[in-house]
Amino acid sequence: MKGYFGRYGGQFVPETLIPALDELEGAYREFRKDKVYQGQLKTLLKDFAGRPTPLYYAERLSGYLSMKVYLKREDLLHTGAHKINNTLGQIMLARFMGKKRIIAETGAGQHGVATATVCALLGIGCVVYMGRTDVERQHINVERMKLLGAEVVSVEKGSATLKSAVNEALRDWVKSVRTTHYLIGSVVGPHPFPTIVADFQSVIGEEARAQILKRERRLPDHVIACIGGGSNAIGIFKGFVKDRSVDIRGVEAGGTSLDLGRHSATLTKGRPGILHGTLSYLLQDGSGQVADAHSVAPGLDYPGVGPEHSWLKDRRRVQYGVCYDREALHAFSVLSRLEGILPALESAHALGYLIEHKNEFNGKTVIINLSGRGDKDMDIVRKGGEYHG
Amino acid sequence: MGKLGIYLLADYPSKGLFIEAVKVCRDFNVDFLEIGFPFSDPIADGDVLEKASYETLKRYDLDDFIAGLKEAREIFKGRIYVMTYANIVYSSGVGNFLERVGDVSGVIIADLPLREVGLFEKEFRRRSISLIRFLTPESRVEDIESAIQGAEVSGFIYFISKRGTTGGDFSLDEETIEKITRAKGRGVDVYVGFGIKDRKDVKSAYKVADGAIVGTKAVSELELGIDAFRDFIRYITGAE
Repeated sequence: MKGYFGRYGGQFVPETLIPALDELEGAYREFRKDKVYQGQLKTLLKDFAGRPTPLYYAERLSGYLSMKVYLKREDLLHTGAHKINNTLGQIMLARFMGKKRIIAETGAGQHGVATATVCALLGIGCVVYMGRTDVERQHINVERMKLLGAEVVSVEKGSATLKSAVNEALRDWVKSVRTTHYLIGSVVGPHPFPTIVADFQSVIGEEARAQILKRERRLPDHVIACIGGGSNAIGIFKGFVKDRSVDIRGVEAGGTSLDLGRHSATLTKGRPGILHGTLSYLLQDGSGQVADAHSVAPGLDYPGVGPEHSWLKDRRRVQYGVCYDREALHAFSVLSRLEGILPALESAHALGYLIEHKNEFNGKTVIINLSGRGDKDMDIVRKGGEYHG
Repeated sequence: MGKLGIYLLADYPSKGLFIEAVKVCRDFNVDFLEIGFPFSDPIADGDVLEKASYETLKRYDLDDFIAGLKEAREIFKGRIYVMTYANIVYSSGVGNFLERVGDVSGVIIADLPLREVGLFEKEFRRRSISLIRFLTPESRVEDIESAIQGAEVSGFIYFISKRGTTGGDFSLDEETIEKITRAKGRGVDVYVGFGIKDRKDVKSAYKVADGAIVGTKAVSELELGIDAFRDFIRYITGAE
């Protein structure tokens, strides 16, 4: 089946967008074969974004947890997160396709900033849709996007978070489909987006695998990443999914509890459904209305998840677990104090899971994908610290 | 003469007004009704229907919409189509959803393009309920052929007049008219919708297609009250 991972995926969008998705798929196939564009992208990833990122042995954290912890330092990339891997790839693809305008959705603002950055780099006009709730809690990223020349549209409708921002971007795209590329920020949306974004993020896993083999002369026992839509996770998982000896874990946001509306643990608590063009696990009520999601980490606050994760779950190749808000906030301070690294609250979920389940990983070698840095989260952490003690 | 379809959002602005509106459509011999079941993330809808959907969902759920549909079925003897989004049909189980909605002519699923009908179609065929196909200004020759092949005897092809969401302005460019003409007269009716709001729009739709669907404008009028809605239906059906 075209565009499916097992039963998941597809192209559940208004008919108007179908020719554009076909055009995108065809262009992407050509783009991958184009030596000039591939060469330019490689150079940008190295000189502009800062690849390869280090695989850092976190010695004090390892001692504290009685295991060997390596951090894949995506937080060191330009703009502060793995998102730039995808936005650089897609902006070159958009240029290859001759598109004159870029639209994007953003939750935490990390993807919005990464999109505004690459649009500035290539001088292409850019509109970023962002839910009003996120505009308020991530205002520094809004300022960054504006400085970079992007127009930020605050979406007041519906839940006014990432879900509403995606709705609005899709509505724009139906209108502007001939001139505009929708630069989607995660491994979600209709085919071919989940595949394209996963390809651009797979550099994380490729590097991490080579780095750990060089350093340890063996594969890790475990690889762990946080999951909202799931792009940083797919990126690092791709490097290890064929290595049967490596146990892979995806960590979703447990929010304040696992009651519907208080978390973003789509794979843990959802059931298959259709949202934003894709059939995948989904947080929804009994009659198919999509539920609101919650997480202290704005980038995880999404009721859907990439279709490839749903497939990896059903095949039992990846185990999916949860980390609650308070555990993520705890992990944030642990990493800050032991290693001098402020992790993004999203990435802190992977660490929080590790700390909470440390007995299971005793004596093992673990790679955590540190997908972003935490400077953007200072306001939330300061407030969270109050109830967290 | 073309066929005229009116779109109403189930239980909106209230259960009472919705039923009154169905009666008005019966009294003025509207050819068919489209009854919308609201969805939390209506990406094909413009501001008016999006807002109406959210308001309705605050008060009612799928059980209410189905009850409203059944009541409408008792009143309106012409064709009734349910219009909604893929997850509403998928979430209940396609067969189960169709059992629950009962006696309707077809279902229009706004985010179900031609190539994804496979997941839904079997249950529709089994019950001889139409799963409506869309064409758009972006459709290619092969899409037009595919829509014609797939259309059921009782169904129609929903030709979306423009690149965009429901509501806004109506116009058909040359290229779009050519596409409608290609699809027409092939054994299945082609109805045009999105942005149709007055007699002039309806006439230009009839000129190229077999019928017209009025959605956003009808819902906006109903928001003003049943008298405004009746005046509008009298006007749009050309009864005066």
